[in-house]
Amino acid sequence: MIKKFLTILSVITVGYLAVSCEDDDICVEGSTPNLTVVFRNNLNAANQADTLTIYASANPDFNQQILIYEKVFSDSLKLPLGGLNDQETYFSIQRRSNSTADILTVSYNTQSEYVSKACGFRIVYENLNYQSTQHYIEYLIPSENQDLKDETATNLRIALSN
Amino acid sequence: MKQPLIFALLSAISLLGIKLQAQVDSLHVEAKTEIREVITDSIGKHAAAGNLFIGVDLFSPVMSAFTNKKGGQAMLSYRVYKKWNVVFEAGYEQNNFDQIDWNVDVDGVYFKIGFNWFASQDSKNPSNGFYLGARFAYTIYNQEIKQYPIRFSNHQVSEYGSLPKAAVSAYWMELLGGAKVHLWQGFYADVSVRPEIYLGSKKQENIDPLVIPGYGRDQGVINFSVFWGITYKLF
Repeated sequence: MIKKFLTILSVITVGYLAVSCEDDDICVEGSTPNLTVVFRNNLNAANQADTLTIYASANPDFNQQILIYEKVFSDSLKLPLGGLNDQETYFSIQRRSNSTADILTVSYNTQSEYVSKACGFRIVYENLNYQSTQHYIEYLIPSENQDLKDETATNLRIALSN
Repeated sequence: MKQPLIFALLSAISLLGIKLQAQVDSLHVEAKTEIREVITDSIGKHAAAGNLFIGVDLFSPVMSAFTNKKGGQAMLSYRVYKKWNVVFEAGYEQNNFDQIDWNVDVDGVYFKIGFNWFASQDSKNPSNGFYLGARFAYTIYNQEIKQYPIRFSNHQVSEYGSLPKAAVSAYWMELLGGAKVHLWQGFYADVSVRPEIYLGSKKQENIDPLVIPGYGRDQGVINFSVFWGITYKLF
């Protein structure tokens, strides 16, 4: 009986130590959504004419800017907004290489939202508002939904001049 | 002359016979009562309720020396019918989850109630053997999320947040297999391994519990815990 017991005891202990190794938790679910921007020409038709170079900054003076896109040739781009304590993000949008860049200002309220154990929290944005200079940008068409929780929907259409 | 003699003889024999029969009867009765005593004795050992055990877990204190998990657990078991024992367990645990950018502290008490059913029992001692069992467990505890990750786009952790201490609770099921072995005098070793199935909880801000007192760290659908106990038979 004692022998049998000791065998079982050791099996249990070894089994426990083997099982208690933690599984890897990798975040695969949605995280903080990007702002989805679609570029159009001034007739609100697809713009495929020019490359775009975009920098982002938390300040209007762009002293700490981050290059997001360099000379991309696409009419649908995803722009990252700021952190939990930010309220505005500035984007410098340059059409072609040597033209004057337009500044797009996006203002919002942030909210943290629980996703999962593996992902932790993410940020969602509410009360989105847009403003821009008008060198090459002619007008902005914001979507009716002012919240950004899902980046598959288009949030903003930007009409560029010809 | 002969007739009265025969009569006397017969009556003597018959008297003797009655006496003999009476003796046989009394023997029979004695034998019956003896058998009954044996039966009641064996019922007393194997069927009637009455083995009350108190015990403590030795695994938690041992683990306390090596990990952030600190605490202890005590148990009470009572044999209610033949192979069935009702078990009540209570404990206290402090634990921490410090992985994948989280840092969560918990501390609280937990209670478990359930049964052990002896699958194989020593013929002389019904508390010696291998058992299967189940528990329902409940804990009420403090949770402090000292750090949680906030993931920016591309799943990179961009910043951290924290939440104040909150009172939460959780409950789960344990299935268990174990053995109880007589060591000396009233002392028994009691060891079991327990797959734990998380059922639900009262959450803080909808956050799934990452570590629960008495349950352990979240490792998916099923957790395992181990009870290494030393128990003492009170009666």
